[in-house]
Amino acid sequence: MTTRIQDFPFPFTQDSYEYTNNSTQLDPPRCVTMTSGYQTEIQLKRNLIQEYPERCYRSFHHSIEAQWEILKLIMSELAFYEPDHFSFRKKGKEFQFNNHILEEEVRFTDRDLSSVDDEPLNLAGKHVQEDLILMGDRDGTLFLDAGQLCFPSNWSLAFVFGLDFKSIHTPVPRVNQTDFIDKVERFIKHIRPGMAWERKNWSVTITEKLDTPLETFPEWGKHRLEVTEENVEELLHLRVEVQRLHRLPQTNDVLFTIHTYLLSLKEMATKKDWLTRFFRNIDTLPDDISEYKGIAYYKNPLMNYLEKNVSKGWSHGRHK
Amino acid sequence: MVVINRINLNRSSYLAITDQPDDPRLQSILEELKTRKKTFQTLVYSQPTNKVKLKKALLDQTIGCYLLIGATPINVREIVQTALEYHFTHLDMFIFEDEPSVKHVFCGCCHFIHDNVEASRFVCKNCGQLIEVSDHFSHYYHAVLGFPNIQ
Ligand code: HEM
Repeated sequence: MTTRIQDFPFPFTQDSYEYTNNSTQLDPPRCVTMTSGYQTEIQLKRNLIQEYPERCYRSFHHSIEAQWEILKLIMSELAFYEPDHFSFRKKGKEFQFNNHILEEEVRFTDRDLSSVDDEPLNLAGKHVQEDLILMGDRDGTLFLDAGQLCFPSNWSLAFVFGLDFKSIHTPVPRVNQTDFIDKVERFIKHIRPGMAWERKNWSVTITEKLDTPLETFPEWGKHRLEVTEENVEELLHLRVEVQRLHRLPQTNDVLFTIHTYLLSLKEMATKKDWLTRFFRNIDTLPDDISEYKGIAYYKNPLMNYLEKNVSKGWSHGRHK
Repeated sequence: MVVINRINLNRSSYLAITDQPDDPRLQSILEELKTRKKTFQTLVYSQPTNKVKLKKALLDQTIGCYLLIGATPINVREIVQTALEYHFTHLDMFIFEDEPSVKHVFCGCCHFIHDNVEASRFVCKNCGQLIEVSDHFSHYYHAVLGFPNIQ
């Protein structure tokens, strides 16, 4: 399920790889974005949630208050920014949300769980393309209190459920040796209510699959072993996660949304400047990060392909 | 004593939850709490049927209470998961460690938890997947992640 090239959020802003807190403040502070893939992705999400509920949804009961806040925030945002597709009305404690694309109506009573079929976060997530993670803030430490996750890049919501921000990031190379994650957590701590920040994270997937959870890694991960210089253009997809952090004004918790986009290398190759930037970043990627991102398996055929295809001036002087 | 250094002794109250009430490590900590004139209670947790008692005890605690947990891995898991559900965090608890060389491993594919694993790589007895033991620890499962190996 790839993204149209004109919708694709190309992530590289410089010619060499660097771990940075590349977050920028969003104005207006939106949590979600609709793209042309809306209907297909919503259908895929709903199928996954139905088939693998334990894998795709987790919550602590004490997160319900923040979940209601998120549900109303997302529904208001959709109705405000996409009025042709959504509407949201309030009468006292009664709410009515209409999704005109899917021809669905949702009615609920504020903070009354008996009025909804799903928990509020799970319901909200069934109307947006994003994965939704609720980080509960307790004295400045963030804990994963609830999440709806359908399109993870090789991680398991079930496993990280309940963990604090720092522990969640244990597998990321270098985070234990540097104060990168502490700094990021301090940064999140200072996000003021109602504000939203956005960053892009990238990786590479050897399928067109959006749903690449750890649980099915043996199925989709094995394709990493099949990459050659000849087929890399078809198989490889740049995977970009547009991640947004939003401080919830009422509960002071943090909503983390992840919108995943895929672009095939073949399509990327139609834009020489993008291909060149991608080449430079892969070339300068440290080995531990290349391994973490799964690129180490096929870095050689990929680099051979890129060297042949980027503009000649750049291809001289391969980093190593 | 080594354990005492890792326990937060600045809390106002303590709740010891244990299926081994005679554990000398716990006893010495309780002695220390007595010396420091801290309020504490002990809940003996021997079987899953104690869950109702556990929930009540957790609910009855005041904010700032610290949990001292000593039990078999299965009971630890149940106690910790219940405590997290009741708004405690892993910073509010101390778990008496198992042998450092022994790990409990969560299978990244099927979520089955293998207790007392010493190998660094093994086949999951529930789903048959070869898994690699990592250092990624979950307080919720009291286990590390077993990462599926494809090679
Ligand atoms: C609060 C919300 C966040 C959550 C829930 C979260 C969660 C995660 C998870 C689950 C992973 C995958 C770890 C694994 O391999 O198992 C990850 C990776 C990572 N996260 Fe976060 N994250 C959050 C915010 C951030 C922020 C704000 C930054 C940086 C500014 C960041 C930086 C990273 C980096 C650099 C990686 C490695 C990704 C890669 O190289 O592909 N995270 N995060």
